[in-house]
Amino acid sequence: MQLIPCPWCGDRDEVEFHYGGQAHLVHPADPDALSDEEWAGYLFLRDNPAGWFAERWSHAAGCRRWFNVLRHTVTHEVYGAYLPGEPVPVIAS
Amino acid sequence: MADTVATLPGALTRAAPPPEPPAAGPHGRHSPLQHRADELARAGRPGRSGVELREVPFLTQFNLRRRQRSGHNAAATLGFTPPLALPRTPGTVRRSGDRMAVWLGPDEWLIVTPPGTAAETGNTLRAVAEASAGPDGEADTVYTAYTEVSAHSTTLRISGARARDVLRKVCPIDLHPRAFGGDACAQTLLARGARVLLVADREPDGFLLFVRASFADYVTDWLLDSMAEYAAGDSPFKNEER
Repeated sequence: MQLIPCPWCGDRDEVEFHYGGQAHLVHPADPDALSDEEWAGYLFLRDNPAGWFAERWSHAAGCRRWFNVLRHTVTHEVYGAYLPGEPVPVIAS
Repeated sequence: MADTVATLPGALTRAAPPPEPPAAGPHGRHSPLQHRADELARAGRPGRSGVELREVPFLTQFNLRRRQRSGHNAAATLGFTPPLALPRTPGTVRRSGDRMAVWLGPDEWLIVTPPGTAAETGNTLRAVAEASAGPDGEADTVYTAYTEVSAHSTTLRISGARARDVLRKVCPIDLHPRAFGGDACAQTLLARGARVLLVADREPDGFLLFVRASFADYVTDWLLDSMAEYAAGDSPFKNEER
């Protein structure tokens, strides 16, 4: 069982959360100008790193707020949570 | 053929009449756990090592959403007598008289008042909404919305020295008094799937459990099962940590 740090409620069990995929996707400013390939890329293609990954989570069984988590996809280590609109934290290595 | 036809409907006519609906409680309504009141009363055990479970039906509940255009910064004091301030700290409750405001989110609260006070609470919240409505387009416009949600959930009160131990079996969050004090609340999953709002009660070792009406029976089953060993008498397992 993994603990996810909700920025509002604190550490809670993973089962209370809903996963929202990659964070910081920006809707194209002018979708009509995109080719089909570019549009499909925006809709379907996501990063799949073996390493640190910024992803969206929703505390579905708690405060029901969306937030972002920086998580390592290999070790499952969570670097931290931050609110939507905030920049990705820089990991001090 | 005629015999068969005569036999089958005959069985139906002997069926018991449909059960009488239970008598309505106060306020002309049926509470979700009304039919289990006797069972709850029998299951508890008062005293130093006991635990008791009761339904607290028909509490008036309003969901209040309130935020500033610029962010989550629009708390307020509600004009009850005495006034009731909205808690700003996540996971806390503010009480005033027999009313309370429970933190649900950075811009969301649950206002709980005694049964039958929906009109008064609604008027108070309307006054708050009207006082804060600014002209659209201003940077500090405060958006307020309130909805009555009394029928959404019923409330269980679990109290007694063993209440924490009972909840620990079915609830994953830390309920130690240091982590979950007298003004704490939490929304979480109870018994593997029921969404509940857990609020520390006024008395020490007491908890209020707001549970959806359709989940009330299920949660009650789990709690009664969890209570069984403490209700039966002194447990052979001493919890020295307490």
